[in-house]
Amino acid sequence: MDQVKITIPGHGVYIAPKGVNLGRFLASKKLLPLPCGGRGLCGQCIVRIIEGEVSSPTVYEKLRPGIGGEYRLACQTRVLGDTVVELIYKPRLVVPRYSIEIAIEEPKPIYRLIPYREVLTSYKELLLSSSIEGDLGGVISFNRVAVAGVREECMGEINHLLVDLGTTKIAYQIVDNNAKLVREGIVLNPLLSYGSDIITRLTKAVESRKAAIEMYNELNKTLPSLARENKCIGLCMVAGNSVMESLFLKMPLNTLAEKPFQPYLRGPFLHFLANNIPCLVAPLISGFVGGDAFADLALAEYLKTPTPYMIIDLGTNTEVILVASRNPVEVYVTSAPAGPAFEGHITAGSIMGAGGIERIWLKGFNDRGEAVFEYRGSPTGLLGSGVVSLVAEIVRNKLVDKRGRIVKGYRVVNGIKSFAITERPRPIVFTQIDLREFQKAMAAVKTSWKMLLDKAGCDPGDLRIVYIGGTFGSFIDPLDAMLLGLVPPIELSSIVVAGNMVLPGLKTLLFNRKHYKYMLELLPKIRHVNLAEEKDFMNKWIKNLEFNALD
Amino acid sequence: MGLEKVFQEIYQCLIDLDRDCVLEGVKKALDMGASATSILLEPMSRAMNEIGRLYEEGEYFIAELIEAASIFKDVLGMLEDRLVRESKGLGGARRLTIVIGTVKGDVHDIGKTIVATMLQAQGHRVIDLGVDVSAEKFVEAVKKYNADVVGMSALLTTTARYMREIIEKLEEEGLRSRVFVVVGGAATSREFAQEIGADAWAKDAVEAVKLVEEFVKRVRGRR
Repeated sequence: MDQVKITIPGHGVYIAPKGVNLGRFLASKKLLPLPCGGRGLCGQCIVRIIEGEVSSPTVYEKLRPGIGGEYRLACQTRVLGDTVVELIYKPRLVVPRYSIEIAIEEPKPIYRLIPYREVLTSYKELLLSSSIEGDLGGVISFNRVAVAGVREECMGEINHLLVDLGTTKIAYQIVDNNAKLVREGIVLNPLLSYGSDIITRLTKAVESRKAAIEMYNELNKTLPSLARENKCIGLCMVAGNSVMESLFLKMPLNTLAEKPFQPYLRGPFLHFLANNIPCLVAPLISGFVGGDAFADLALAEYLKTPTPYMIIDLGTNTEVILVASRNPVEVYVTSAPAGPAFEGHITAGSIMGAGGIERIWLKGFNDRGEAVFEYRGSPTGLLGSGVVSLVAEIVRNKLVDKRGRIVKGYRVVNGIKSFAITERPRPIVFTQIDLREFQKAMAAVKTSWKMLLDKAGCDPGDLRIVYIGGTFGSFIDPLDAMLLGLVPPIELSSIVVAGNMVLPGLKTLLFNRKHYKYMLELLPKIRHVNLAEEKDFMNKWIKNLEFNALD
Repeated sequence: MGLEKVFQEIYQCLIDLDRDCVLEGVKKALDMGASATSILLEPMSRAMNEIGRLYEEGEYFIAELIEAASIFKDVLGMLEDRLVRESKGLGGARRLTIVIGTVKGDVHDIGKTIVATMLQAQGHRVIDLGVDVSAEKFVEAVKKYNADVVGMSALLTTTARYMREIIEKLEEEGLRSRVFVVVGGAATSREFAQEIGADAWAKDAVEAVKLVEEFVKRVRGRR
């Protein structure tokens, strides 16, 4: 077959078969993620073809502003001759601005450490995996408490790896046996090249066994690499959403992909990484309320948060947990398909990881009466947090009416009302249609927390604490979130912007046996509310499309 | 006041979603001797088209669509008897039987319900099969109601795949050529619709109604 040379300044020269899809090729080299899975929909894989012969633009490219001439969507481009390509997408890791750091009192790991040779002699019949023959220890499960065999020289200085297996990024901490932080970091999720959202990845994995195995392999290669220079990891503890955990464990996916939308198994799971490190994987509460939400809840419960309280993890999939009371146990969870408006799928959208405008203020109006904005971040696109602050600003300043019709400060471009955020280096706009997308996401979130409060017979005013969890939430001003109804209206002092709650949550589970047991006993008592199947969901959702602040 | 002015009033009041004003206008028009068919085809349909356009621009939103459909339904109720009488004389505008549902595996019904409501407002007979609808149920309903159009919806890419099975089942039963198949929902696209052998793709409720209206015209043209 004919071959072509693809030169990427700053990265190297690659040889590929003629006609190769540039997006898929770059993704396979980990140079570019394909947020929508290479379907030409998200417009994130922009490249500049400096020279060379490529296929002509597809309809997806013709529809997208800013694409044309040298600028192409890699996933829509086939390489027909030797080419030189500049990458426009610059992956960037977004670290939560806040995270709760908690001290564990009298930390004691939930599993027992014994020298490796004792495992081989005393517990041999209980070994769960032949991987024990390898370099490090294995785990034996007794009544939900495990024993890990470790190499002799590690007995005194054992470490633990905590992993938040996020959709976009993987955050991790290595802690010592006293729960003290040794090292922490964040890497991009290797599955970004299979799509930026879990539904796209799930679809790929369900359609192709090969893709599912590739994804499994990628994850099981990435996790050990986090611990690589640390030889004395006793146990790794992982939490992620149901799709990520299922892919990581190679669990059947059909039950997640369609009705009943529940995980095949609930866990907790015991798994071995490629380098034989035993791995405890947090249990899944339901299909779209996963092990990460379980870890969030573990943290809030460890802190003995006064009830009733709520945890809201905002994102494309927003999870809401309401702990109405502890005695008797009354815990409700739900998830809201907030949709892609929070993460990029708007006219000038961008995603976490790609960078963009994260905060916007209304500065005033120019002499044509058009709103003028100030912003923070790089003017390459609008991040979800930028969109939230923008919508809050236009609501606060009454540039829209209650139903979301733009009434002031706009200009009309191609018959559509829009706000111009900036002109340079490329125009970034937010249109009436983008606002409509945002309203749908907002209504889904609003309906979800309201529905849980209704179930428990609580009013927003009863809530003692509302945690806003997750990276996205940590970039949002709580006042904006409240104004738009993304969180219940309560005293500002009762809102905790907690950032990443998963890692500290895992820590509470790992180092306190009583708490771990308590959480596992709580698990079956958690009531999952499926919004889509709730009576009257549609009418409530439609009502919640409105901006209540403009009542 | 001339009839033309009353029609203009009905048109404007429906766009403004002023129910009382629309109903009053319709009554006035009837008193002045307008036919029910002309009220529907002129101010009412024209206003619905304008509302659809406003929706596409983002000026109007879901609540407005539903409100407009609800007013339209009220007017239909008011005119029902007359329409039947008039259609006997004139041969009448052909209205269709439409079977609609969210496909198996999927439980999301907002989009589908909005489409059903709007089609009903246009006077079509809509059989809403609900959510999680299997190929067998679609086929059964097409046979039972002698449907002209099949509408399928899915929110998730994981469940949209099932639409292909439904179309295959319609083929197997020899029903495919008899029905116009429209698909929609967040997980679908024009290419997807083509690929699975549907007749059309509707990106939203307004588009779905337009597609069905175009189909009506084509059917009418043929007969």
